[in-house]
Amino acid sequence: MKNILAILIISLVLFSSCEEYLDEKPSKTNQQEIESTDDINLLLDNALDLINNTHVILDVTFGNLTDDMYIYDEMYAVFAPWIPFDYIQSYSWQNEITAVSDKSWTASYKNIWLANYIINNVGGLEGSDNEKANLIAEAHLIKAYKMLTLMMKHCLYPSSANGDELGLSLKNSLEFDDLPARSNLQETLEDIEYHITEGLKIDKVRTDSWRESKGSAAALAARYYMYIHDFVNAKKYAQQALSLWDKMVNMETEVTIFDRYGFDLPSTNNLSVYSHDFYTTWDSQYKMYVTQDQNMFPSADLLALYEPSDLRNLFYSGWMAAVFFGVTENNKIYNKFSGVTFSGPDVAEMYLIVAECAGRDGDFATCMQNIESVRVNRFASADYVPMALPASVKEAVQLVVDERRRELPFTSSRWSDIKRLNNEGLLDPIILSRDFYTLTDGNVDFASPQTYILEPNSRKYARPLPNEVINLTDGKVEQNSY
Amino acid sequence: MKKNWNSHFSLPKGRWLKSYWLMRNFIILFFVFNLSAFANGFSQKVSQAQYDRSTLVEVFEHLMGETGYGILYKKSEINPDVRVSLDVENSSVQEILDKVLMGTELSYKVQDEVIVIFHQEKLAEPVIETPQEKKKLKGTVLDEDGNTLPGVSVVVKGTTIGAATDIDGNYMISFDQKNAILVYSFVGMIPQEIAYTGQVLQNVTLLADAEQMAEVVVTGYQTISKERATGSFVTLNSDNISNSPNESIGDNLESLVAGLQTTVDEDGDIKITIRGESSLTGNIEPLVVVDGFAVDGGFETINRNDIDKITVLKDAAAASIWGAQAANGVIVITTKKGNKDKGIQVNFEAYTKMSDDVDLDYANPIANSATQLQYEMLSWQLGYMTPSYDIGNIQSNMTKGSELFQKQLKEYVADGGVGLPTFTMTPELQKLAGLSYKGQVKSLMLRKPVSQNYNLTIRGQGERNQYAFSVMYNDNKQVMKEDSDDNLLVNFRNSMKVAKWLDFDFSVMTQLKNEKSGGIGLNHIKRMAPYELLVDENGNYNHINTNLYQPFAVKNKEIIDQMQAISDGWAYEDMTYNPLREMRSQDFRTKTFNARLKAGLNFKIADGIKYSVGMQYSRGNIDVKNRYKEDAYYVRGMVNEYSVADYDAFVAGTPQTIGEYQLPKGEMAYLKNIQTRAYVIRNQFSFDKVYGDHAINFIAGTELNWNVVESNDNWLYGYNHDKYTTGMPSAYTDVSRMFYSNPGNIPRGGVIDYKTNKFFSLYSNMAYTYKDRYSLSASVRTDASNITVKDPKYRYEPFWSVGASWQLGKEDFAMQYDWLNRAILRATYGANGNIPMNTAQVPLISYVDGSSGFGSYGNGVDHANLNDLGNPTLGWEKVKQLNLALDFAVLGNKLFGTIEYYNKKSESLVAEVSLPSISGTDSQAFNIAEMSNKGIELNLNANLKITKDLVWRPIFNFAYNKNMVSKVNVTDLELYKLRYDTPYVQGYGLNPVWSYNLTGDTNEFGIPMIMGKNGVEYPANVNISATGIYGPDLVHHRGSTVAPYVTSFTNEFKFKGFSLLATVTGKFGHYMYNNSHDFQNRVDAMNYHEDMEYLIDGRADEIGMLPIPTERISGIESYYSSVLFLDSRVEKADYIRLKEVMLSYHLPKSLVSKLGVNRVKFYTHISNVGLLWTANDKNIDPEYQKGLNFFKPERTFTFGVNVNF
Repeated sequence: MKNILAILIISLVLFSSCEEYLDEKPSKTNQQEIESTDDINLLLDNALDLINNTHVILDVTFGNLTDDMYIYDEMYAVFAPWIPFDYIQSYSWQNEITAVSDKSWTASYKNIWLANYIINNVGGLEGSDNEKANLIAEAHLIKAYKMLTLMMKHCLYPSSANGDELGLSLKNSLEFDDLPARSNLQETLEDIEYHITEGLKIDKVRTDSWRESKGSAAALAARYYMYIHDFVNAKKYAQQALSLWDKMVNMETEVTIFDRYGFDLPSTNNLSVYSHDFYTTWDSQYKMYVTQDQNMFPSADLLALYEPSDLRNLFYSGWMAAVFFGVTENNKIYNKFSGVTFSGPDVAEMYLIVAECAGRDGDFATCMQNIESVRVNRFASADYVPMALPASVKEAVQLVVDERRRELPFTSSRWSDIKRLNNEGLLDPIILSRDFYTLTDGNVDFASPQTYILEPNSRKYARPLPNEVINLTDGKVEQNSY
Repeated sequence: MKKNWNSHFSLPKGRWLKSYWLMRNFIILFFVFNLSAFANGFSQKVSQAQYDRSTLVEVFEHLMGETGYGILYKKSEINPDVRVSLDVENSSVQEILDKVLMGTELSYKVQDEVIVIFHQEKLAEPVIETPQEKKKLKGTVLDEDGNTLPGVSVVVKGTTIGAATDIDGNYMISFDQKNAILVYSFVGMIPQEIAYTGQVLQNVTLLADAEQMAEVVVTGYQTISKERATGSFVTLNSDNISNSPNESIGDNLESLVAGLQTTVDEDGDIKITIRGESSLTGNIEPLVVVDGFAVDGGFETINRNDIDKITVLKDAAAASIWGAQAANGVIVITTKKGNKDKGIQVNFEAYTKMSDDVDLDYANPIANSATQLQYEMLSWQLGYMTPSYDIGNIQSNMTKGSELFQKQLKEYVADGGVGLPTFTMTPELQKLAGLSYKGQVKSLMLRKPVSQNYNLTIRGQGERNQYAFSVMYNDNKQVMKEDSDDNLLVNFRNSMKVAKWLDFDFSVMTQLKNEKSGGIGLNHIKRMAPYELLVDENGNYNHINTNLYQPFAVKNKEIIDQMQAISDGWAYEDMTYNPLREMRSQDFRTKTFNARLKAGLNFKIADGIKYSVGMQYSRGNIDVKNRYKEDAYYVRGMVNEYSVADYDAFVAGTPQTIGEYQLPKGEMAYLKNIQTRAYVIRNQFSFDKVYGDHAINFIAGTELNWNVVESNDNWLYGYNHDKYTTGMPSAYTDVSRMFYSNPGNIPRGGVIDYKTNKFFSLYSNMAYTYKDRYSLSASVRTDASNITVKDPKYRYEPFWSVGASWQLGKEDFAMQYDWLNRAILRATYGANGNIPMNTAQVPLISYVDGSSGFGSYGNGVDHANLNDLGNPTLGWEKVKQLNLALDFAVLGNKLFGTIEYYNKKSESLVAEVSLPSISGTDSQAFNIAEMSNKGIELNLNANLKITKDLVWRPIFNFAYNKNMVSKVNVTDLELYKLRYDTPYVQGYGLNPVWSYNLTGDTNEFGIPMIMGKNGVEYPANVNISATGIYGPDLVHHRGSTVAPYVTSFTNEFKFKGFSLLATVTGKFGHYMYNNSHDFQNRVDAMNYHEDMEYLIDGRADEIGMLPIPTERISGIESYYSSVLFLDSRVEKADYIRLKEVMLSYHLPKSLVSKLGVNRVKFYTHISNVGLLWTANDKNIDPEYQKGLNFFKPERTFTFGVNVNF
């Protein structure tokens, strides 16, 4: 019996505290659970996640959709292997994109997930209430930015007439199986506006270019209201943003030309893309967003907009195609930061919003004053000549729109301008057109040239959602119809 | 008739209520070692024997407990109604047995320490009858090894006339019958019948019955009689294992176990799977269990010579007791204990292995120098090559040939030329075309691998304990001249009888392993152009251009020369690289220490009821010390790189003097330490009883299991190996560099890692047998772990099995067939688990130090990556398996084997599957994938006596496995992913092989056209992946890289003292990709595939390749991906191989005894003998394809001697 007793004692000791025993985390390595607001801050401070490539500041790409880009034959012959077919399909505004997924769309929704995580969970984490409130506001701003951008690309222009058209899926939970169908445009707008409102509650000054602040909240609101042509609010928030931050980069004094590989490259302080300085030097953005696209071939239209002495011309260089590939004509590539473009709300954008609002009010002096606030930084002082005052509202708006195009090429700005202006009808209709080739079965048929035209207000202005979303939700999330 | 007779002495038909150790020792007693005592040589006294209406079984159990002797009896022969009462003191066992058995029909015989109880009536005790015109026959009975066999029964068939051999194996028998047939039988041996034809002398050799030797199966938790087992077990004994003299035992399992397959990956790592792979992302290798506890590190810490038995558990019922770790099958190893002999047994073995020269051309199939130079010239001519101008190109390396072509370009430009010159083969280039490094590499860097191996085993028994001690040592010299290792393995095992009711078992394993390497291997050789020579005619090191990036990018030597021309003060002027010099100046050492300690207490609570507590503690330590001596390029390059210099001055070409070095000059060393600890504690209750026709076996227990892995690393600079002193860099992060405009980070190590897995398990297993014929089994187990989510639904998910077996052969209707000796039908079904890998339960972030995260990239502040959004339902992977089997033995046990059918369904497999991105991510790992493995396995054995002395023992195994990944929804599967990163695709078997055809036509631009599976034609210069079309819709599925059919045929011949073993293996029905020229026009490519020779010759069509465009075409880069799936890249991988041959010779008994030893065996073994047939005609060994990252193992010869004292 003695041994049985011993056994019982041993067993009792071993059986007890089982759950506690199993509670230890499997790893103490650098794979941690999110426990405090510090962890959230660390996630939002991630301005370069090379591993997952979904850092918050990564923006949706628009470059190939607008008339900023034109793929000339000479360049396509060289760069075709690096230009994915779906890129060409987007470029020619196809109704169907063969690619299953779209990386910048996916990254946007991952960031929306992170925003939802913060909004839903930050209350339970360690950290001060003030910190939490700011993080929640920041999350709303991230969500608003991503949704506004996705709406610009994938939904029709939200005019008063088409509030029932398809908007975005409004995802607010963290559950993977919560897959909401698309809301209508009206609901989407309301949702974005709600997030902006919540975001405007942020109480932080701009410290780091990659984090939200009061300034970035106002700038985002200005961009949003500009898109929906609420000029009162657009002006109000643009001015508010400028009152908080108005740093412009002077291209004569702050941009240096440096020599590498025997070729002249303009840059600010020898900036290489994603270097430490990259995040701080070109600091006219309220919050930094970037797009990555190696194939930014400027159209002749776009290049023609710049005066010869405009320093922004420096960012269009032909040396790479010429030297490495022997392309001597139409060989320019927009190369401000080696395939990276800043696309976040910018001081220049705010000046131009104020300018447009003023122009629309007939206050041409204010309009031009704000345009010149940008231009004065884009010419060597010796070459700088202010523009003449416009004669009409239409002319004023046209001046602003052209300056926006010069200042913010290959970003969402041009695409959203075309949509809102074509819808409005104040300016001449903007018809996009390119000569390319017929696309068949995943192939470019060089034997069959074709001209593609994007008519104003075409349903094609709502670009297709990635196929994976449609297929994996079994059609619960609808595709755009054309 | 024969059946009835056999059942008395031989084991196969009876259910012997014996535990495993008894059986084992009995067998060892008779076959492995020479017997000494026979008959009444034992006189163990029993201090007290009190029986009150005890059954005979109880008496036997008591006697066993008292004396430690084994008692063998057949349960069915013991009348449970017989009760005995007895009360004696200090009586001998014989006295007691005489009394107890009086009046029963039972008698007994004492053989050394084993008492065999048998039915008296049917077997007359050796009878000496008065000769009455009788025939007389005498002779000696031996086993295969020539040992005499005492106690063999010799009986005239159909009568009760019989005799037994004496201690020297001699017998004499007298009988009346004219045409008598004599039956020789002995436990554990195959009975033999010999016709009496008037001979006077009849010597007989009995063969061990491998099936019977493996009469019990060991699950690791219990030992059960094979007759009662319902599951799929394959048991191998020490003979099987010793037939392949390798340090590790994994090598010959494939040819011994049907359904077990080994494959070799491109790095030479061997992977063992049982019944196909059952997981997509988790572990796919079977669990290895040694003496009841799972061990890490596979077979490495197991001394082959210590193995007594290997049991492979294949199906759900067999393996289910291992629960969450059992989905891939279990390999249970039991080691030898001390033997029952009082004496000490010493065994010594030594062998040497020698390999043929490795095949450098096979491992590195590159085009010859002349061909390469022609191609390089063409590439320059077409403008594919980028010249290196200045310090900005410091990291872009090119071949010597390219340097010379670049020189032509630069001279042309300097002379005012525009565009490209016409490149020519200068005399210098022509000289290169005639050179090859192969001779120098072979003589200076490579050698024939050799190894020396020694093993010493001592086993014996003390008064109350049995012990076994072994030492194994081997010393290996690898292919690379500076690479070697040695390994010492010490095992000690002791079993002690503390009290009548308590056993104590204790064992220790220690492994010490030292590995030494020059850090240079095949991959470094592959990074040389074919015309580079290691040393010049004076034996001095040449500089060799290489595209080596790790651990330190070799710099472009021409640009270094330019820099040195305008600067001085370099810490190391010599910036040449040479792999031979590297090999000699790097000293990489890894010291491994492993220890495993096991202890177990077995309490005998009552008859058939036991309680045991067991624990295993293991600890491992790996110490890495990689020294880069001062002569190593790493040291010279690093110190120079972090010298303080004016980068812009180099750019501008301004002379300067370098004065400050931020890294101390001198040796550098990298240290890494990995520590592992693992604990298992098990409590188990067992019940094993027989009530009349009902036999019940039940176990239940709990197990706690946890393991910890910790590691850390460190870099030393300015290290002095003699004084053990180090220096320090001036800073570790953001350090300015001489060769680059941006600063860099100096490796510091300091990475600390801690991982722990914990398990808590509850298990139970029941077996019930009725009338020795019908068995039912059931088991259930739950494993809770800290790996799975807390939700009890996932954490405590049970694993279970049910099974049944029917001893068909024992039924009356089967008994009438004399040819049928055994027939058992078995069926099982159950669910096992697998530990999910690489997935998290909750969102996981990883911290990145802002200053060191991506070097000088990023915003420079501390931040975190969001790496996983978490799987909130993470649980075990589940594998459900149905197993149907028939075991049979026919024709007097001459032919026996097993046929099995299984259907294995893996469910809840963790895999990264596509999610609609609006959920937050486009892919996430979930327990969601499904896969099936169905198959048939056949194992056939025969034991054939060809002539008096010649025995042939063939073993044939055949396994067929059909694998299908039925569910793993991955939508984003571009074509290019199919070739390298995609082992599973929904709707196809694992490891698919894909291809498409060329149409044979070209388009209007002269580009060959590819015919996709979807009927669309694509020009070869189109990046088909970029269409975004789902990859599997573009290419034809050819099959799998894993063979569905695996067979082996092992033949063992024995003739007198000689034994010859030959194993032939074959794999069929699978495919392989074979590489070719990849059309990458990279300036840093150092060499090209051997197929280039065809391409340069314009014979691309002969090898089904795209021709090299001789004019510049757009999209040439896409050729790279286009050729990956060409039909000509896929080959059938079927083959038949003569895997190994072994010849061994036992010195004759007479000679051996003169030497004063028991047994001496000499052997020679050849492995990797050669391919007998392959489906491909390209001279490719499908198991080791061309161009892998290791040298194909060549024919290896082993010579060894084994002496037993």
